[in-house]
Amino acid sequence: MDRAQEADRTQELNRAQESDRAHEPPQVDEAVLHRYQQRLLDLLMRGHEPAGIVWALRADPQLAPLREYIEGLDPHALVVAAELIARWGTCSSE
Amino acid sequence: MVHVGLSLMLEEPFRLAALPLLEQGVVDGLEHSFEIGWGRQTPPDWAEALLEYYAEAGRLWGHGVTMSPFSVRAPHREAWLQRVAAECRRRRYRGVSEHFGFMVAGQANGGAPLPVPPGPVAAKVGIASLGRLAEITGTSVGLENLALALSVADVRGQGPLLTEVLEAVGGYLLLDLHNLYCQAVNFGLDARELLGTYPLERVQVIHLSGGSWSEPRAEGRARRFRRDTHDGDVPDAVHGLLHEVLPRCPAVELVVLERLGFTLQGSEAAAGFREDFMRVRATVQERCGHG
Repeated sequence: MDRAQEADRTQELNRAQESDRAHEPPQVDEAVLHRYQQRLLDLLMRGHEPAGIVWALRADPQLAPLREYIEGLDPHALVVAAELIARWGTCSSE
Repeated sequence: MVHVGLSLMLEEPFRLAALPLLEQGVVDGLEHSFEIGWGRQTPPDWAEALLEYYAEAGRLWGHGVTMSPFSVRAPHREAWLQRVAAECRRRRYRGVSEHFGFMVAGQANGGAPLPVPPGPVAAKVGIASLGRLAEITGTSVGLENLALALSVADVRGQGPLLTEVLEAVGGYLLLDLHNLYCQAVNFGLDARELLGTYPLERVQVIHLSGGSWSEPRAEGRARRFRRDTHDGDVPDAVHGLLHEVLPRCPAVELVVLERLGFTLQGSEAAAGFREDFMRVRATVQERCGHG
């Protein structure tokens, strides 16, 4: 294998590893998961539009490990979630 | 022996609709969502009598709604657990289950369970919560699959995550077939294929119910969305799923029909409810040889 072939092979391996990583479950810790739970509930309770919810979650740097998951959120399902929370949700600080 | 039972409701229309079934002696088991008796609506005498009867027979199952087992921080949880423990000291439950998902994050309480992003941390949180429930109740504990998914990743990830949590604590799966149906139709997936992603060998209780369609509007368009509202007859497709799944659940003990009590007003609704129950019973007899 000459140097050019070796470089191609290395690039190919790197791409394969990146692709594998993209399909792994998000590597989050409890702080990230709590932040997501808190932000999602807050945005739903405030009655934000689905696009605004996804935008706000994506823009949160602490939620970067969940970006791929957040981008997959379905806008119609978010509307249903907001309806449920508008009906049943409470905040103990209120 | 697979039993067929009802989810207990406290409203008078439920009592009237269920009475003929109880008098015929075809209701083998009872599920009690004990939190409905914690508020202003205390169980009437007839409901207390049923609870005592089924507890004595070892066929009373408890079901919770607000524990929020996948919340990272749920300040209410310890008080909730203490209350459930007291309930389990008061009556003998065959098992106690809760819902997959989270509804609480610190001081905020969404009041309805939402899916949690699948992954090792979610599993760790769920294992700790369910383990604590098992410890404090001293009984079998289980989790019910959720109807609401916010993405395809939720739909695909729920079964494997439930498997991991239930295996870790030796818990059972409460397989809600209408919830599975909701996820399948809302995300254009095959319900039978989805069944294969769940730990069917851990199913001890199955739920069937009806629901309704809504048309949420987002990004300038509306689309049909199936909701688990427990306010109608069980769809044929869900009866079909029961027929399909029963032989694949070797540990199943109870199949429960759920319906909100106030939706049973009128003779037509009550008759539909009883027809659903007897159809479930016939399916159990056909697929399990008894029931």
